[in-house]
Amino acid sequence: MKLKYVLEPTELEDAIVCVPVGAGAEAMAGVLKVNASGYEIVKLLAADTTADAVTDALAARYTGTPRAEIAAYVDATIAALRAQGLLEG
Amino acid sequence: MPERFVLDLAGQAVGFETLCRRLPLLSADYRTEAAPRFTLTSSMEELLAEEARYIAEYPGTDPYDGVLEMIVMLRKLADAMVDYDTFLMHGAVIAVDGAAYMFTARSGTGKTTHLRRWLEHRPDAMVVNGDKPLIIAGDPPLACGTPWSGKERMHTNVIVPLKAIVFMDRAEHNAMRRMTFPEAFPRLLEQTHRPADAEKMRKTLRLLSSLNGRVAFWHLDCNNYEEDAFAVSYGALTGEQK
Repeated sequence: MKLKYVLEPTELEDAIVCVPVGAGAEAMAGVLKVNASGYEIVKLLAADTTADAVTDALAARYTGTPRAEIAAYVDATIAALRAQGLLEG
Repeated sequence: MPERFVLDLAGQAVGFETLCRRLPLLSADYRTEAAPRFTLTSSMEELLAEEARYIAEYPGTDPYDGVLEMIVMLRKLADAMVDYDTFLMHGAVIAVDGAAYMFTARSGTGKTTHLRRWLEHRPDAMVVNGDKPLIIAGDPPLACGTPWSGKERMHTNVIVPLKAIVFMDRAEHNAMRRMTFPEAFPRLLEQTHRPADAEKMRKTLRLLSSLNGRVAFWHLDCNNYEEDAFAVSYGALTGEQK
């Protein structure tokens, strides 16, 4: 799976707003507002990947957090992105 | 034969080659003899493509070529102006005492009616643009008149420091409150032209971000009919009682 659109981040005080740019961007009317961890996932989903691979990448970075906790967060974020029609595959 | 002319828009000399008479007729106040930095053209193929888009968005309408060419040219202008740190917004801008205030909202919310309330109480106020102003993202940001000004054709060829952007919603009573930039940003983006080109869109996002701290953002609940419709927004924005 991967993101349908290129999402450009704009950092605000309380969140990162991801705005679709380029081909197909007009099909996504709104913006995606995520926190810093959510944006890590968004970045990884720019290329074709799997939930396990995303979890692996984050687990390697955040060694102090249990893998199961990271996996649950990744799954929830992916489900939210899919519900908004932002993922393909 | 295309009509060729040059307009001074947001401080840039922009050349146009039009097939229809509408844009040259509506833009007489912006004519300049300066050499254009770039020239925008339109073709019948582009007008036909725009017609298909227009009818899909507004079923049952029959737009004529002059209107379609205005839309085509505005999109090209907005895309091109990003290179000059300038972006296009949907909103109504009024200027009083040397400061400009933009009221923006979805069509039909009452932007023009609210502007008229201001003009009733401050006859010396000037409508910079009633629909599609250009904004130069400097310090301060500047609001610029354009000939693309909605069906009321309210516009003036001026450039005025932009002091505030007000996001309007219809409501039972009139009320104003400040918005933080993060709160305002999604609505700001919603009312800003989004170039199809990825790099230009990235630049547009940077230009919008530059407004943070340079423009005040407000939210206006507005019914436009109660006596205080003008006083609420005017008082909050200018600090004056009216």
